[in-house]
Amino acid sequence: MDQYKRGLFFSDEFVGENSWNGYERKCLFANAGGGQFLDVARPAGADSIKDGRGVAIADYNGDGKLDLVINNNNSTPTVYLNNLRRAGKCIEMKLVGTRSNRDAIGARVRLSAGGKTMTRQVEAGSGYASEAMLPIHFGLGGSAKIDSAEIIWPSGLTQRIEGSRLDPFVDRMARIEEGSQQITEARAARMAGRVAASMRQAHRGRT
Amino acid sequence: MKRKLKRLAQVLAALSLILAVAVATALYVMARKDKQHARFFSTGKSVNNFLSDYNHGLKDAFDKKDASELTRYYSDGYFSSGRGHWVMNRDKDEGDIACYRVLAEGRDDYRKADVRDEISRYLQGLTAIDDIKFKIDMIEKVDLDRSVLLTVKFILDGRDGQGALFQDRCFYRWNLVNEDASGAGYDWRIVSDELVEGVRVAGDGHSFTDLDPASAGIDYKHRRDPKLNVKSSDVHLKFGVIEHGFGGVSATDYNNDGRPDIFFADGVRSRLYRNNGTAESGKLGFTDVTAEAGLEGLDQANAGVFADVDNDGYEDLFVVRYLAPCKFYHNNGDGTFTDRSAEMGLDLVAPCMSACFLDYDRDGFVDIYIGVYGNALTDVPRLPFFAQNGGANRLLRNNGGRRFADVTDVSGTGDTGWSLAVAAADYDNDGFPDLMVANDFGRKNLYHNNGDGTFTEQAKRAGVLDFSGGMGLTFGDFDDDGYLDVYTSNINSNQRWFGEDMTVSQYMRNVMRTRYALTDAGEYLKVYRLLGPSWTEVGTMIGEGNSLFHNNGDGTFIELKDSHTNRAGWGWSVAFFDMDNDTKLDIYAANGWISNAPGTDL
Repeated sequence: MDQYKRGLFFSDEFVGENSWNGYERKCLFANAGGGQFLDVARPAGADSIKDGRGVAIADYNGDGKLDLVINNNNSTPTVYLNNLRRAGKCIEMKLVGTRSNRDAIGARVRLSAGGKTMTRQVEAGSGYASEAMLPIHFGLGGSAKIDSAEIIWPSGLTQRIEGSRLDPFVDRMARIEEGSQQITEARAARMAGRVAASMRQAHRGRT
Repeated sequence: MKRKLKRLAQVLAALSLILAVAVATALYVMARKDKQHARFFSTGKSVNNFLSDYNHGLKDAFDKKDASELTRYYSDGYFSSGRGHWVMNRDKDEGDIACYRVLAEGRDDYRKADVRDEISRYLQGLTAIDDIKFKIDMIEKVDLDRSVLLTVKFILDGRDGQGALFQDRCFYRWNLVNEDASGAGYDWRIVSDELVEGVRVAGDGHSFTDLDPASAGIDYKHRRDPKLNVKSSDVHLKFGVIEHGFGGVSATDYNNDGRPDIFFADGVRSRLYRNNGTAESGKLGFTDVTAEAGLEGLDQANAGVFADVDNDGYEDLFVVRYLAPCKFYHNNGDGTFTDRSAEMGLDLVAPCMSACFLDYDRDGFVDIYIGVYGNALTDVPRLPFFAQNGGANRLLRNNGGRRFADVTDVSGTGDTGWSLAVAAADYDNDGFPDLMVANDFGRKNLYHNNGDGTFTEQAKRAGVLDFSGGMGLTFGDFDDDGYLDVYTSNINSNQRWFGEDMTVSQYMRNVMRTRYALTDAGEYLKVYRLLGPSWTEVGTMIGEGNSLFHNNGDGTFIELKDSHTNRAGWGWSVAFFDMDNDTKLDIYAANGWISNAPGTDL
């Protein structure tokens, strides 16, 4: 207690061999709407008790759902593959700047689907000492159709894209170049398992 | 002349007398306050012990299938008028998760036997208990040694008959009375209670698969920087716990195959893992490519951030190191990197912690902002709730992808807090990216980009000072109104009663008796200027945990204190992401400080 009294409660003598806010369960706050969230980490199976530091979010296995990698201080990392069964469709967008910086860092995208409009930004570095993948990810809920998208590029250009041009990329990653209406597939092996299976299916259908 | 001197002597004598009386009074008041604080502290500790006993009592009651012994924690005179019985009502699901609200139903009066029956019914619904926590959330009213009105946080991790994993989280208001007959000790009893709010969340625990990293080729374990290990004889730090703070991680696509690769920043050997996808075996696999990519030997690192610095189509790497030269690696586009730290002007040495890329001048080349902490070798944070003696953060301007120039001073972004986290976002939709900083032992800084190469600090005006141990922050539009909101991670102590006014004033009294009394005075004035008369609540603010700030769209934010996102423990990285693709941004919050032997928590 002496250390604390001297305002030095963060000294190593104070900690000694003790735990200090150790074995804490990670939190997964589900957005319940109306400014309300609900921590579902335990029933979702994402409540690791390691001393978590950085978190890198990306769709590592290409199944359209965002996964988590956590670097844990003095321990092995945690890899949480998203296996939620009740999940909606999605689209990912890799933005390529021409006048803007090539990664389009700072670009903001407003996407309308299913009667609502969502906003996401391209960012490189946030959280604590962490970086998520650069391409942005939109959940689409039950909607497989996109009404439109508006990209505000860092250069100042506002680019509008009709939903029909994006629909082919639902559950995939679209590569969109600044100012160009040409949209291409950004991840060849995306949804590898599912695509391969449906192609085999199509093949059998023909023969 | 003589008369004048005599007069002066009289005045001096009078003044010293007044001063002496003032000092004596101050010392007397301080001693009394000290005593009061000591009683506050021992009362708090005894209540903590009571909660711990109650916790064990509940576990015993479950094991014995009998709640009658639990009644000894309730006063014989227990009576809660109109309390109602507590029930669980099904709410709407969140993805795979079933959600319930705990509600008080009816207006029945409750006596001791009613409580026993209610607890029995509750326990009958559980087939296993994995963990129970009872903590003081807030001491609302305290009549030292005699009675305490407090909010209790109750968390139970359990399983039901169907094998579902659930967590019950309830807040109760308990009225405790000390029934110790001798008057010397503590024998707390509950005399009345009330439900503040409660939820149950239930699922099968498999919405996320906890993949064994080694089975996916990630043979990595984070190691601390040995140069910061105080147990080693040749390491002497003023700020000793720093070695526990590290461990950044990044997702990147360094080889442009569309699959996210992983970079782990490490104290001994940072690693880059290439994502091989799932095509080969149907299982996700990674390969350690640190050596072949030319990234060996990266120790003392806390973060690696990737961005295409020269617009050649490949992600370059900037590595943030603590008290070691930062590193810049150019991505050659063939799976290898070349160290160009010095020629790019990115080999600065500082107690760096984190970094983000942004194009603040919109010239088409991304710039770097670095969060700089304090130097643990030479300094401790002063004050512990408003430390401004860290290294200055750096803004480095990218000159055409060829070299970076330090524009910290001219841009006005040299925050000297103990910065742990930085992030960039255009919070006012004016087209220019702004910067926000989370400072440990301090406040947040929000730098508004004026669009002319300069920034103006706006945290107070914007309402995001957020005093605490700031650990992380992230931007995201969680309510889809077109403006980016902010979520910050801070420390939330399980003993947050500890930070109440009484403890803060005790801290002040302690400091006033040290050599820091004079050096800190100016800092207190700054805190007062920022917070006004409520500044003594800074202790409570510090323990409150993470904060969710809603962007009002007019350059200001409002903290959503009732959003249930603040109690995330000892916070570290936080991230917005839509976990179930339902269009709404959810939040992941990492936490945990130091896990030594279980059961030894301070």
